[in-house]
Amino acid sequence: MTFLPALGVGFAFGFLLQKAGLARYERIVRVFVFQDLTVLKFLLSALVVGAVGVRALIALDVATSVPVPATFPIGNAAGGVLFGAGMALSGFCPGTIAAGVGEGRIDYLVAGVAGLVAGALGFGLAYPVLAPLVARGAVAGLTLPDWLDLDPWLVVILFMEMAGLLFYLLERGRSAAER
Amino acid sequence: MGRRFRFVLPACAAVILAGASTDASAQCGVSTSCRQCHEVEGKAPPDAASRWHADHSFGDLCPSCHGGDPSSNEQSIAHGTLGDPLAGEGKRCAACHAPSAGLVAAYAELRAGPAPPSRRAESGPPPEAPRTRPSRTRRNRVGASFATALAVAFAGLVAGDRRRRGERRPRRSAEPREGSRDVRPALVRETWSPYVAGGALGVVVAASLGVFGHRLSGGGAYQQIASAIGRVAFPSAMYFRHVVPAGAEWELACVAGALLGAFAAARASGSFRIRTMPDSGWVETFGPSVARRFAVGFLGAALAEFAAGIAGGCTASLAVSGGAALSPGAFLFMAGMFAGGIPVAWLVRRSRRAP
Repeated sequence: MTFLPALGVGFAFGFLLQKAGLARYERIVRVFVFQDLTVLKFLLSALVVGAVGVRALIALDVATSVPVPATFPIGNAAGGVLFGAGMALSGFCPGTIAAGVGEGRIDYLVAGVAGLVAGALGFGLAYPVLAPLVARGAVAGLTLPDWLDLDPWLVVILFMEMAGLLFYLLERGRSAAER
Repeated sequence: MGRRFRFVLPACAAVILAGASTDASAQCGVSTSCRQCHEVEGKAPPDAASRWHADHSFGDLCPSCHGGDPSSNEQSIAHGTLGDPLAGEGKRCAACHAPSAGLVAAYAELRAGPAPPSRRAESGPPPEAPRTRPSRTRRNRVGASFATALAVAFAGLVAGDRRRRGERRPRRSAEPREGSRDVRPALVRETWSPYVAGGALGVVVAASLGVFGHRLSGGGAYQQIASAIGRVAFPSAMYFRHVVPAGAEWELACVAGALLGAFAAARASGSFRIRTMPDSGWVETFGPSVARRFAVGFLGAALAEFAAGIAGGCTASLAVSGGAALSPGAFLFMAGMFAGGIPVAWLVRRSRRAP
């Protein structure tokens, strides 16, 4: 029975994307020219809280198996570059398209959904050629604590500190600019 | 043959990890009649040059794809139930590749073998059991010192700022305070602080990963839709039938939920409105043409989803979910995202000044 949890998780995801205003073209595009860092703040906040939450659930023995995506450097990085290019061009990313449709945007519903399906079809056709190329050097289930050989909590704390420092400096710069 | 057997054990683990059927795992370590005839005796050897066989020849896995009876040396019995490896809806590949893992990730995991319990940094000396522990303790100590130094520097920075502001009433720049005052105004407010919304998403992601064992999904549902089309339009394409077979309930329900959630959020603040163009920023660059908006949007969305296939996930399923699980791949993806987005956004912005 995964339907209701998935629906609930998705509901919260769409709700929060809409409330953060990420279903707006300008919001997404301006993060790449450093004029509106909402996307970065949203993403990093989710990552920090999520990382602490996951570690806490593991420590409390609630989480038995946390799915860790495989790390395959060529695919992760090359895919990221193309993904960012597509995002900066259209202001779309797969999650925000659902959020945009939810707030009544026809361009998201028609161009966005059709584009996503076309892109997935294209990838499926190219899969036999692409998969061996990008899956090189893959490591399943690798995590940063494994890779750095550090305690997971230490990695989480370092990550929290760095994100906190970045947030503080950003807000300090903003309030200085407002004054 | 002895050399190849080195790969059998990790392969077994990989197959089990990937959610193998009992059929597939039962083959591990068993010398099959398939290999006896086709490899040892060299009768009609499989095409070793083909990518497919090379990548799947790490174990006694022939029957997992081809069927047949691997326990019999009698050709008529062994070949009795042979079948087309690519026939059957998502059947034979799905026995080893977890359907929801899909994509390159399944392939990558298969090639990578099982996850090592712990890996040292690349430049370090080869891992030795007795030396690993003290070294890890030392690394942790260095890391902890760095964390403490960072915390002290951060505290010093905050204290310095406070002092410089002097007697002035400290203006709170962070919104969390404001947001937690009442639930009702927060619900009807059109835009939340990204820290509040992002932090809340972090709680949801942790619950999704830790309690339900699933990643947050953004683009997975569209892969399902594309796969359903692909199975009909391109019946010979392996990906649609076998890598993303039908029935990833989680991904579809997640996107359906996102749609409802965004609708609820927009209705609550009265910002739901049917519109075909972005509210701001678009016309200045691309002009008022709706057709152009749709064409560029289609291209961008297609590029992003194609790229999500290559990367093994999108912003939701790789960057946020993978990052919360501390996967290095997630951080590589995010670095790539900015490396790709910045030049494109800059070029688009520059074209604004053109007539």
